Amino acid sequence: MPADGGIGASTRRREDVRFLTGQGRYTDDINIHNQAHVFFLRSDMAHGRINGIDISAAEKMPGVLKVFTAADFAEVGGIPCGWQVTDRFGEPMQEPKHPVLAEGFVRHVGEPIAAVVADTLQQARDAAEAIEVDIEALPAVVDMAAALEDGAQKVHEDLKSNLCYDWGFVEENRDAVDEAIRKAPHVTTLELVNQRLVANPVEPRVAIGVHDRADDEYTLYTTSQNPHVIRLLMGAFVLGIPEHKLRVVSPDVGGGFGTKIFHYQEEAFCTFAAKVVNRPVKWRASRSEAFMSDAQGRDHVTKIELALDEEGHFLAIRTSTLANMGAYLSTFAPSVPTWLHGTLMAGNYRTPLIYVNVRAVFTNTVPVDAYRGAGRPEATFQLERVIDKAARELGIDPVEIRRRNFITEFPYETPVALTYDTGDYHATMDKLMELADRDGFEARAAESKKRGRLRGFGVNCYIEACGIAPSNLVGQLGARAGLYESATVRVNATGSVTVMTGSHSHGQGHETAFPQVIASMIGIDPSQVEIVHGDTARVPMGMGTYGSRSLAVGGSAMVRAAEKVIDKARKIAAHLLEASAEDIELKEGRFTVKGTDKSVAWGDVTLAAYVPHNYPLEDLEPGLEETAFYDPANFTYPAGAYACEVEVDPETGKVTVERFAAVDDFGTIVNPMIVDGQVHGGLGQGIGQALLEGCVYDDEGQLLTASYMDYAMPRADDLPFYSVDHSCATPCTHNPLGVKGCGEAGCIGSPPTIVNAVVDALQRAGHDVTHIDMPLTPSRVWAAMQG
Amino acid sequence: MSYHRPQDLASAYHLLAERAPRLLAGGTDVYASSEGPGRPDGAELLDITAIRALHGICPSPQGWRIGAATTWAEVAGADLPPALDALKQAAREIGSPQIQNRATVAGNLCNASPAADGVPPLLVLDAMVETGSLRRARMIPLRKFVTGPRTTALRTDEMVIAVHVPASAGKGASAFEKIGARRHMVISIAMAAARMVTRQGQITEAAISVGACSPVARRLTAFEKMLKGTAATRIADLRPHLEQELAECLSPIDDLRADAAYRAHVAGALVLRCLARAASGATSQPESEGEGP
Ligand SMILES: Cc1cc2nc3c(=O)[nH]c(=O)nc-3n(C[C@H](O)[C@H](O)[C@H](O)COP(=O)(O)OP(=O)(O)OC[C@H]3O[C@@H](n4cnc5c(N)ncnc54)[C@H](O)[C@@H]3O)c2cc1C
Repeated sequence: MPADGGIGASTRRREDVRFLTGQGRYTDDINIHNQAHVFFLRSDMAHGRINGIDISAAEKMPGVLKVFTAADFAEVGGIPCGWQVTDRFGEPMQEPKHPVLAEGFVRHVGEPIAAVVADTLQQARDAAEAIEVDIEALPAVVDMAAALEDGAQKVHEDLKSNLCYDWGFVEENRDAVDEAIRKAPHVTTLELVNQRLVANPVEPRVAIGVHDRADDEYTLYTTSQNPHVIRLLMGAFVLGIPEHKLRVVSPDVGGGFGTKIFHYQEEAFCTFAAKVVNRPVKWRASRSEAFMSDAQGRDHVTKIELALDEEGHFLAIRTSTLANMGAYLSTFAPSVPTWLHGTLMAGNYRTPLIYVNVRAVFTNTVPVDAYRGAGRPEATFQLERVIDKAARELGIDPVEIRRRNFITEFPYETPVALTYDTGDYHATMDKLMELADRDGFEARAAESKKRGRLRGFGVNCYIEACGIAPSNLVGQLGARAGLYESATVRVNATGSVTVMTGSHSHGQGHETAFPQVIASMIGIDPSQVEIVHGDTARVPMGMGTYGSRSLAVGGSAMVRAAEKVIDKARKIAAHLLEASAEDIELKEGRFTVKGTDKSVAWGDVTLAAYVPHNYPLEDLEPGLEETAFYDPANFTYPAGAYACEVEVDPETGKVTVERFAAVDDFGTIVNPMIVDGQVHGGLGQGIGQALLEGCVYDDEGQLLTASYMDYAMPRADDLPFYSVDHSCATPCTHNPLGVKGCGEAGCIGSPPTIVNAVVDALQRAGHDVTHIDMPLTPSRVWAAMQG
Repeated sequence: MSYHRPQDLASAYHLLAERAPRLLAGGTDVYASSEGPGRPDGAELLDITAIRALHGICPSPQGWRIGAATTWAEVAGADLPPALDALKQAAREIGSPQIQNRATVAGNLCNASPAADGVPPLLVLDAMVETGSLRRARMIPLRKFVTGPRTTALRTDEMVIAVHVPASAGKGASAFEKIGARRHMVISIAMAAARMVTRQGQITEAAISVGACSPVARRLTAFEKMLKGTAATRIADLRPHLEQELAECLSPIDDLRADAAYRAHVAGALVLRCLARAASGATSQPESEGEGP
């Protein structure tokens, strides 16, 4: 570990002091003088026609300032979708209007119908009970396959059908893939469900809208992963507020996992209502509201076919997926089952031909969008499950079949439009076998058997495309935004540094890791570097944090800005040292004339920049502050191999995870301890999906898992101790730090590992079980064992 | 909404008779079932936690008296003989430590959830529920106290004062098993408790109960009788009889957590596990038929 606390040091997270001592500044901690509170009346019906809303009694209730309905938003735009997918016939997807408050129809349980703004939350809630809504129930569309049948009830009357799009990728390969599968000596087929999840960050969403009449300026405080994106979407598309009149602030945010990327109705509502009632308007979601209003994740139903030759070499992959969009298109929903999923179907393997078909479907359920991993866990799960099944069918060891197909030459162009820059999958697998002690498995299995338990070993690989994303590429694919990142590096007169980054930290530890990079570049102590994020008034236009992009894209922008700063400082130093800038090097916080002992300290140079008495004013402006926008040349490709051992209790079907080993190639590591933490968190979420979590609607579209009583999140005692390793690093070749991103890996790689291990345990005990859908509850596992 | 927190039973009885308030002990069911945050439904609350007489576990020659407002954490930490192990084990599995610190024994019984973890262990201990009111005091056997899902034999002016475990049930050893989606903070899919007394390896007394598989937790009286006189090592051989009784007396439901077939099966598996653990506890005891209170 470097002594200077720079790149590679496991420095403790400085932000944790504030989080752990109750000093965090979360949105709900912000209270603005004279603020009013809003309570949303939400639909308890999944689908219905609104025949009338009577607010007259509610309006007269104590403390009520105003009761809002869709009529108040007639002049306002709908919530926009940020990605347009083009279907396989060249047509744009169907895109329904998404009103701030339900307009004429309710389309999912939890959709806001009316909103009461009152002096207190209690008054607002009481008044909401006095609103009379006349809703005529319509049949709810819940099952995706049924939704696509001819004559099915439509979620949106004004759309042609419930099909959002029918996407084919790569469409040109369709016939070749069909042919290869027809002719293949062996085809393994698997039908599976990647169940719907609720993200459940610890901090529920909060929004406070403020309008300043003096200069007609708006401020929105919100729990967002990307305040600039909210400013753009809400300002330009919903409320028509120009950017210079709208500030969006996201202070400490208590976890996002994707669900806080998106622009939500409540944000637009609070901003809009603040002007109407001329008071700040605050909303805080209850946990129950979070369950029915935060965008949910996954919800894919897939059939995958893998064609192989006799030796187990992959020949072709064909998939057909139904992807649930829910009732409306959340901000990035269309991109998740398509570009974030289809492009990953090559995995870590050489498969010459791939065809992915995805039909996205509207249903009367809460909208679905990106959730930690977004599309990549869905791709990995299918691929790694079908490979495991194929290995069993062909009698090849699951590790061996993967090794036989590994990509070994880089750069590697996949048949699904990506170019992997680096990787060493064999080295990763070697390390995994050592870490997981596969050789010791049989002895452990024998010991489990003595205790009446069935032990299984599961292994799989994953790759993800992170560092999202080259803007020109995503523009061609339908993104309605650029995906660069920005940073301003402001050097203060006495040499300390303030970095304004467009990345947003909601638990990732940027405030610790980013300064480590600057500290290494300049040679100052990390404590001299401060990170500012999450405020459009303080930070240049940035795209925020998701897709494990912060260090790879935001960090790169920061490095570029710091390089510009150092370049300028070198010129100032050259002037002070009466040498040529080319001869000056920066080391350990001093500028030195190469080969001499003549030097000047960083702080003297920075002081000269702001007190330019002895300064080359004819060549250089005073000051030391630079901004850079970094647009990545390619995605980054973190990859890894995971293994676990589970025990199944044959009497109860209960699964416990006994061992878990994760070997990840994240390229350069800035703070190993933070990376470990990110992997641990991801593994916890992935194991949660594999064993416990599942969001369920009944046939009427009622959300059955609407609270923690029925939605089981993983707890510490449901999880094993992890062995994690990131020593097999092949640094990214196209960003300045060589970093790849580590935020989602654990969540992507772990679900198939668990399912593979449970299937292994059951097969070893003589049960003919080839697949169990997640979550692997005791009841499901037991039922699978009964045949 | 008014809130009362009397210091003595007499005041509580008066309030109960005059104002018919909702009783509040640990509040872990009352608050969880209320609509808005921080606002239990119903106009009045009568908090019984300040009444000294309702707290604590007292042994006596007649058995053990567990005050109504005794928390599960207190039960888990109490010095009790092996016959009450099932109760202590259930105490440790209710919710989480935070819940156990607040949640009370009587609250669990009065809430009368089919999945209440406190009921099966108290059933195998032949527990009696002591109630009080301005007009009368009653002792009701637990199996008659819980009358259905969310219903009890309590009248509106009555409250539970204590739960009694008779000395006769203090013999042998007992065990509790529960299965849910995860280890803590779950609603049980099924649970079971068993208590057993043995002499020279022969079962002389057995009490078995199953919860979460019927509207009210049940004792398996026929199988209990069958076990009498059987060698403790031969219990598993009688599994078909156990399953027959389970099929007859349970009515497991299909829901999100598990389907009925699973519940029926797993109930049997849990009973056998409890019996095996109770047997090993009982046979390792001195032959004195266990300790008195
Ligand atoms: C997160 C969570 C997890 C939980 N996990 C479990 C679990 O694993 N297993 C389980 O069995 N339960 C569980 N519960 C339910 C609950 O904690 C237990 O039922 C608990 O024992 C209730 O006790 P209490 O003192 O909190 O009851 P309260 O909520 O105060 O009262 C419950 C009911 O009993 C009535 N009542 C209370 N005391 C008396 C009295 N002396 N006389 C008459 N009526 C009375 C009340 O009016 C109310 O109707 C959980 C609850 C929560 C919130």
